[in-house]
Amino acid sequence: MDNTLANLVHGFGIALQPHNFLFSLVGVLIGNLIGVLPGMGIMATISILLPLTFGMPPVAAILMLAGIYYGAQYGGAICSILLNLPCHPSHAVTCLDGYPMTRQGRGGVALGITMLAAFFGAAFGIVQMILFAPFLVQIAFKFGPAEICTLMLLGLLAGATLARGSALKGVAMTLVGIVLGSVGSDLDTGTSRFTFGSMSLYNGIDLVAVALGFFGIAEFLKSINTISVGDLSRVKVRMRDMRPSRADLREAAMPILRGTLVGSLCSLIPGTGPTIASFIAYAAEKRVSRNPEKFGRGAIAGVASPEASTHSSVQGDFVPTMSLGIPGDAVMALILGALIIQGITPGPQLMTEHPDMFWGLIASFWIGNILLVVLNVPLIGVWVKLLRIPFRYLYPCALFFICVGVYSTNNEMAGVIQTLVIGVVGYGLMRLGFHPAPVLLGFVLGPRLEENFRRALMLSRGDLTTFVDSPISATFVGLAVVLVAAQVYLARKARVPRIAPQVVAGRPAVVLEEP
Amino acid sequence: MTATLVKRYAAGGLMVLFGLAVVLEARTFGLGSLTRVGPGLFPMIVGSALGLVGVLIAVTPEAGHEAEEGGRPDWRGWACIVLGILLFVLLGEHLGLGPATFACVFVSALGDRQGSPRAALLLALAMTVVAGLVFTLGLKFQMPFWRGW
Repeated sequence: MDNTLANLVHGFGIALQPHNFLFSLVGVLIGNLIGVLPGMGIMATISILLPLTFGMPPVAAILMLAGIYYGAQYGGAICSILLNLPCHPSHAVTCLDGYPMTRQGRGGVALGITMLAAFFGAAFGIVQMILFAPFLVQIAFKFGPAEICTLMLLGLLAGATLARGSALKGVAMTLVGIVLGSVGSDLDTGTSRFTFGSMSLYNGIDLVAVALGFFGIAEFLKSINTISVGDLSRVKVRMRDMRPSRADLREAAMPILRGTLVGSLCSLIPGTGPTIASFIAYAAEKRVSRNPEKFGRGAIAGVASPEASTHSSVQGDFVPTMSLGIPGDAVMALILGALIIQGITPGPQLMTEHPDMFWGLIASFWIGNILLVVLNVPLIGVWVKLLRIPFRYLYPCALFFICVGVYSTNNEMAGVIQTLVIGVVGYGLMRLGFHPAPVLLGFVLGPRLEENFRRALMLSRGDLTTFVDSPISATFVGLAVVLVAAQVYLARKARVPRIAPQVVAGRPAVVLEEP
Repeated sequence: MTATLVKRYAAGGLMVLFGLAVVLEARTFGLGSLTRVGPGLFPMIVGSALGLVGVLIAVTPEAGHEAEEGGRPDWRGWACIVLGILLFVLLGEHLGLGPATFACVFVSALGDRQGSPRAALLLALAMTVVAGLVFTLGLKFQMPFWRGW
């Protein structure tokens, strides 16, 4: 415990270094801004900024990218509550009660409660990371290639089947991602794979090209001419409107606690990110509520609980990513990819080899979240003004930034063409009902899966039973089998509509794709 | 055959084809042995799995909500976005960052049905100025702002 405290103090030392603090601040501000702007995605933003971070020191780069992710969560709620636009799926459910509150003139209170819920949820998620990650690392150090291989398999399967949409299509997209990840020269033998004689493919496809293709270009192809800015005439939010009354606070306290717990549980299961957490939290809250008839008509609990769960899940998401090197969703896959580009091998050794990064990140979470709460209250007027910027001014600029970002990774146009092709194909796949999030998981984990697969077989002299020999890997394989069996059973039994943001699609609003 | 069914077969069939292509291509890399796995084995496994999943997608009825994926085709928007990026590639290669930025923003902005050409023009000019100040002057971007004729 003393050790943890000392590490934490060390982390604050790192995170408060001027340039780290600055990049953290820039990250949360950009994230907050992107969260507010309807139609702008977190994935696209992180990948546009990714090339910029190549020249930065690794710690600053990761602090900034992580800041965008959790900063955007604060902004997303504003968009949902004031405009009824579920721009970010993890806040789609907040529309249900947040917008009615706005129409009753209580939008400010809804935002105030959201800030409280967000901060509480995030704080819990960070504590969870502090306590849980070192524990996971202890276990993970016992892993050999076979264990890593089966764990990745389990992580990929969970990511593919638990996320939105059909489980089979999720698996298919993961496999497509793995294939994309294997393009280029083979690490062992130098054989060029799937390059078709093209020099630009020889070094593999860039992470930036895949991410911006699927989450930038494909996303804009999908949302062009479908997003309209809502009616803002009723929105008058000033700073003092945001202060909730004593009764409001009493009403929100327990839902915040329950939402936080749901979120922190969801974050530990790969594939169930903040979106699913918020939906489960809302459904659970409605069930335990003494007056469920108030839900959908501006219940404070219906805002507090999902928001707390989103934020605790967002922070908790970092646990498996930073301790095991297994990202739970596409955003985490992107941040993991950024680590790899910086030359840092993700996995249990990250915490011992790069304690600066690990503890600095945790400390920056505290700083970032406090900054967000402190900034959001006085800046609320600015954000409300920004909500009025129409999408038609945003996407052409974003496309330009995509082009420039991809070009700058290698200073060649081939990357831009790759991104365009991936984007167009990706949009076609989206229209066929495929969701793009698992692609990125497969793309980032695929090469490491293959590497460990080959290493495990070499160590066991070609004996395939190596993957079930040790109790640890046998457990992972067992869990994977249970997961698949459960999916098959559920699909056969009921064909129940899965938890998906489409639940709120009854209103004239768009749900943008994002993990 | 309903539209949903067509979509299902298309989705499954596409994955089967893709998986098959991967397997065929992976065979040429050299499979190696189990003790010393070659560069082809892993893609081969992945490709076969993809083919199998494709077949499963084609034969499994889907949950109802997936039918609504997509929405009406919007050819104007799509064409403008794709053309905008292609113009960035072409003009960036031959004329420089400034013209590329202008063309990319202007053409893709025309894809929005509510916007006017005037607004698109102003937006494009503004972005070109930003590109010049931020990327060329500020970040010393590799591509010259203007390559000349």
